[in-house]
Amino acid sequence: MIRIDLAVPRRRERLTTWHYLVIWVCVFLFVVVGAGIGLVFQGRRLESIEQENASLRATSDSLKTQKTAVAHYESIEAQYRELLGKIEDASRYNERYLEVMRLLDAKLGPRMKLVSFQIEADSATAMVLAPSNLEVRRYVDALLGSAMFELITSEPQGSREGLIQHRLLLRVR
Amino acid sequence: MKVAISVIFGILTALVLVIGGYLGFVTIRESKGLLREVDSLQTRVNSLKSEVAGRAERLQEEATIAAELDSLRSALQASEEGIEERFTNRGRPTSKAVISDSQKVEGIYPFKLKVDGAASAVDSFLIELQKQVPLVRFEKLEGVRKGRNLRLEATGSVRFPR
Repeated sequence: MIRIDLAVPRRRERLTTWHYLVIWVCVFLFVVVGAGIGLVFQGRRLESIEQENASLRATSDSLKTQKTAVAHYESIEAQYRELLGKIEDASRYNERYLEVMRLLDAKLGPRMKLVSFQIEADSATAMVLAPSNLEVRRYVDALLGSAMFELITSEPQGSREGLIQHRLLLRVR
Repeated sequence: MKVAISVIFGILTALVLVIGGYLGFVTIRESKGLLREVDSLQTRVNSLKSEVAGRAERLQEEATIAAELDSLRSALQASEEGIEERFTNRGRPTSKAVISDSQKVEGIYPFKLKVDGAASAVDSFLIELQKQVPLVRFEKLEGVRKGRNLRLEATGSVRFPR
């Protein structure tokens, strides 16, 4: 009797040492490559942040320099304006004195004479000779019309050279 | 053998994971620190930009204004150095001045000035004096008219900045 064995001989599926080694090497390499890629990306991100940081630092330094320059300019400008202000202020202040002096002379009526005057910061005294009290009144009105004076007193002080002498005390505005 | 391979590669893989994790952690921590720094720098830059904005163009005027300031200071210095000469005039009208330098250190020069001449000439002299000594300030003007002439006595002070 002939017996035929039709069964296919099966190899036992067992991992050999080589397979084991290859799998572990693959796992190791996968982990190494994964970690490496992650670290490279992280490193690049860090580098880009560092660059941004450096650029902002440079901008900040440049702006600080500009701010110092602006402060320096403002200090120079303030000194210049202050000096100019003092000069203009002195000029305006003196101009009032000269204007009062000119007005005391310019507003004199016909046959009137300005004998003397004294001008201070807020007052002026004038000694005038006039042919009549009316002329003095006109003179005072003309002075008041300049809006620079207020009359405090007007006193006749006798006569001189055939004219009436008047002492006028004015407040200078 | 398989156990030995598993142990060796297991340890190696774990080491790689630990080192990678540590490096990643360090890098992330550093990134966060840098990001905070970037934020604070950005805030500072924005604040500086707003402070400087609009003023930077004026910096171009700095040279001009500095030159003007220098010239003004030199003029005042020259005015202070030659103060006596500027108060006295040998022509018409004549003028004599007594200038005290008692407060020279503070830059204050009280003066008493006598000017004698035609009224218009006295007026012109005072205007010119104001130009020559721009910081002169009158306190009192006393005048006596003699015909067309005016005899003026002025008191005041000149205050130079210190």
